[in-house]
Amino acid sequence: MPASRVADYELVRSLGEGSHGEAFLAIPPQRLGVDDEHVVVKVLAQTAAEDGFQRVVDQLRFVASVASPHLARLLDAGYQSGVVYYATEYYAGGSLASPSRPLERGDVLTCLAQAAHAAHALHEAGAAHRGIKPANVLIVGDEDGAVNARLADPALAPVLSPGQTTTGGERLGALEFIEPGILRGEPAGRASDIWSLGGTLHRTLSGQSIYEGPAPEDIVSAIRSILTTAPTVSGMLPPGEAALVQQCLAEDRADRFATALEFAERLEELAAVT
Amino acid sequence: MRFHDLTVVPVAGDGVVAHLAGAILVVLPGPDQRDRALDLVTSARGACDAAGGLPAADLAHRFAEVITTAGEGELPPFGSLADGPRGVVLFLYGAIEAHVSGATDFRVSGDEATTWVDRVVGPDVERVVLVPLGTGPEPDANPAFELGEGVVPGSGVVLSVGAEVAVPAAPERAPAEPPPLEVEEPDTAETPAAAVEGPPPPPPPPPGEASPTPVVPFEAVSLLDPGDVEEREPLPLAVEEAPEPEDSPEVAQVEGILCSREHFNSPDALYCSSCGISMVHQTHNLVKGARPPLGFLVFDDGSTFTLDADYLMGREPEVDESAGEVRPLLLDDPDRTVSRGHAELRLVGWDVTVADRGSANGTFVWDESTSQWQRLVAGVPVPIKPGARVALGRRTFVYETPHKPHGA
Repeated sequence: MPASRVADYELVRSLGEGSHGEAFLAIPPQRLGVDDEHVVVKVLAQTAAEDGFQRVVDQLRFVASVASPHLARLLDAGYQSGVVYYATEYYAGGSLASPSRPLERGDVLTCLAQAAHAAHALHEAGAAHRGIKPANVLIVGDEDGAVNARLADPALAPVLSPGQTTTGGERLGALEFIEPGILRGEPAGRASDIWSLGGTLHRTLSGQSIYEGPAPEDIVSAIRSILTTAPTVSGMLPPGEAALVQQCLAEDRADRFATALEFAERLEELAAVT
Repeated sequence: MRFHDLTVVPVAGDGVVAHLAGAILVVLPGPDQRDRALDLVTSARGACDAAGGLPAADLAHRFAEVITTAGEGELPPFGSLADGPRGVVLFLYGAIEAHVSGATDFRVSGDEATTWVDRVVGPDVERVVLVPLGTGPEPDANPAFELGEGVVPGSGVVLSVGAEVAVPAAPERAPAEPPPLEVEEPDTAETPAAAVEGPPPPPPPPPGEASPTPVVPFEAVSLLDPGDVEEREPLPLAVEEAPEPEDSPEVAQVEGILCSREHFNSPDALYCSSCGISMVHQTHNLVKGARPPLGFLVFDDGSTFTLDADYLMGREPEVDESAGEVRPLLLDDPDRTVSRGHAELRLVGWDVTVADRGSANGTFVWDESTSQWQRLVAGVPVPIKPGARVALGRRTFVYETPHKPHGA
């Protein structure tokens, strides 16, 4: 008898808290018709009414319809006693935030380029991701040592709760990947996702935040500090990467890469040089 | 889950089960750990009595101290469930597991952490089982042996809750919080059970009879073949003029001033909110323009909301969608100190106003000059300044804006 379930999924163990709620490694039900031994079930922290669930389903179906080999594969969405969950494919390689094995610099560039391709596909289809950060760039475990990335977890907060820009589930650390303009209330778009891709590259390669100094301890000071501090690119980054990050983080949205595709191509050029 | 109407049924065995003021404790000592087990109960009882209600945090601190000062293998596995201001808190140490069922079912055990596991359990919990690791969610517990307050032998416990009953919430001990709160009377339309489709889950099965976990009804939509999805336009490039987002309410026109780079600002602005340039030497010619977002709200749980529309805030804000201009802002509140439609936030010109909607526990604005919470008169909108703290029941938010200097 399973110790615990969500709908007809058997939960194996918790994978930790994400921006929307808790994620679990789970055994999929037969009705899904997938061969995977394990999948990931994300249980949203925010309860929703029936119409809220419908909006989440519409958004997830939209994301599922975007053709990109580098978007995490969505399997199923469901609703049980006011709780919304959705299931995605499970990737054994961890994420850029906690890879299951140490990544070479070239691997990081490749993963980021693939995440940028996925973001570009979303943009071309008409949606911003809004939640790009190292923990959402998942790594496909591969026996021959090559890495492949999947961009996961497009933001659902704006769908569930219009006007919401960050969820309560965000740890303070996740704020460094949110474009300051979003916090000020500017609409999310290509440029804000490109900013997050730059922050993700910076954090993954340098291990440092783009905001210098000690991290504020509460959310209000953290947001105030982000809105009044210009990001700084770490001296630990090689010049090529530093220039790319700098362009992603340009204060004026028009000074950044015009598209995530352009950023992806520049990353690929850099990866090819080494 | 409310602590006051818990039914506590011990599982027979040779550990210790204690029902203390606001907490349940299960200790599972080995043969040479009996003294430590009783010490633990005494220590927990002390923490509960000193806390005077809602002991979860004090108890967790006490346990943490005991664990960090104990030698390797010295402490027996133990687990507790304690009442706290943020909900019921589960605390587990060592080879003990908890099975929680209700709106979501989960299992957690003390050996998942190298130190201990503690977790706030949601409000919609119906049953919690604390048992030795590997026992499973249906231990042999005879409901005839119900435990009131006290300490008895036992190697586990089954806690279940009947119909949810409102009880007065204990007042917050922090002096900066608003006056004592009433708990909103739940009605049948808003109990969590109403959201469940189909019959309520059956009661725990009689002892000795194995039964599968009841499957709570759910609906599921496959995403493997998304089918026809409404096509959307590609996102505009940053250099193009961004169109208004479709779902945003009609943007109000306000009078403001332009900085030297033509960013639109509040007439009071000393610095441009977009580029930070000083506005002091600008000629202050008022021009009409679309109102930019006036800032954002930061809630105590870290969530933020953009102020580009009016909001109705509450535990279950019901917004007439046909009005289309007010967004619902749902505040989770397991303690029910927030009313269903608690307060309204409106954007008026360049100002933000808050009005209480006749809520049970009131809406308060922190007054810096007197260091006190000022209760708002129901139905009267009050402008709030950037940096203002506002309390709705036990939930609070801060209003932040890039448009005006603090204290302006």
